[in-house]
Amino acid sequence: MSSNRRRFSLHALLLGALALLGGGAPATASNLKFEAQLVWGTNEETPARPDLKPVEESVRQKLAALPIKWEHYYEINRERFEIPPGGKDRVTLSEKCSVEVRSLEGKKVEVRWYNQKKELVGRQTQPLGKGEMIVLGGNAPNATCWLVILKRLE
Amino acid sequence: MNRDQALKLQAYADGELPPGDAAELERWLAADPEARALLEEIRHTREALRAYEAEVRLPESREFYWSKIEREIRRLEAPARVRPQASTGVWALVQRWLPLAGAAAVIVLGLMVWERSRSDRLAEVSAEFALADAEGFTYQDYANGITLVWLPYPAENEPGGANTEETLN
Repeated sequence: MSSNRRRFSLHALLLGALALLGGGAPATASNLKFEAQLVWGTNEETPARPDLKPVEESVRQKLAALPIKWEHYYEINRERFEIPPGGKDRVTLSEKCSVEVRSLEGKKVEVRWYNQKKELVGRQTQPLGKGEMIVLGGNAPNATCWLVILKRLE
Repeated sequence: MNRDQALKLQAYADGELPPGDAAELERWLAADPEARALLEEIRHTREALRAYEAEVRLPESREFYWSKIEREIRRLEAPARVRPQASTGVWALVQRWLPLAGAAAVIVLGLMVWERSRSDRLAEVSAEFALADAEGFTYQDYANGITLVWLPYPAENEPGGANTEETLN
């Protein structure tokens, strides 16, 4: 009984050591997954288009924490995409808005926004961990706003 | 009447005499008025004590009462605790201030690490507004993991047009 217990402890120790060694080894490079949303913000009770749906509650709460104070946010479009480490991809959210994401070293990414003329509007470089978001926004007519929300999924 | 006779009368009054002795004592009682008087007095006294003795109730159970006594005995028998002598001099100061100094050092270290990580993170963030006609701003919400980039880019050109309908298309 006692020797069995000792053997079990030894196995557990070996497994722990292997796990530690495995943890120290470089992880297999996997694609970075993102979700980009085009969102319209307004204080009007009803959206400009009846087909627009409010953004998810989790997104609404995060937007409410930002220093922008529109009351309602509606999702216009949403695209999911993934890029390999070091790679890049560009998604079109509307005819007049597209986003390009480039993977840099570590968690760092470069995000570029383009307008309807395919001109570069802005560029943001920063680390973006899993679940974190970059929100690009600007004023729109009739005291509304547009937002492009880029969220890293994995 | 001697002492033994008086005690025998007492035992008779208490019903403690064997039947043979009791019969003999009753014969003696019939012949001796002093003995009868004493027996009568004994009975009266016993009756008075039984009727008028004040009942005393302890405020606690018997077990608890005795356990208190037992505890007190143990307490008195236990060796007195040796109080640590108050430290004096430099060592006393070190003992007194070392925990506070340690806590302060940990707080300062934590603040330094936090500031360092914040600076590193800020250094890694860069924003550039290519078509902006004025400076935009970047807001970082570390707690929620959100970066807000607000563009001063003219609304009419972004991402829709001059009205809401165009903006959404």
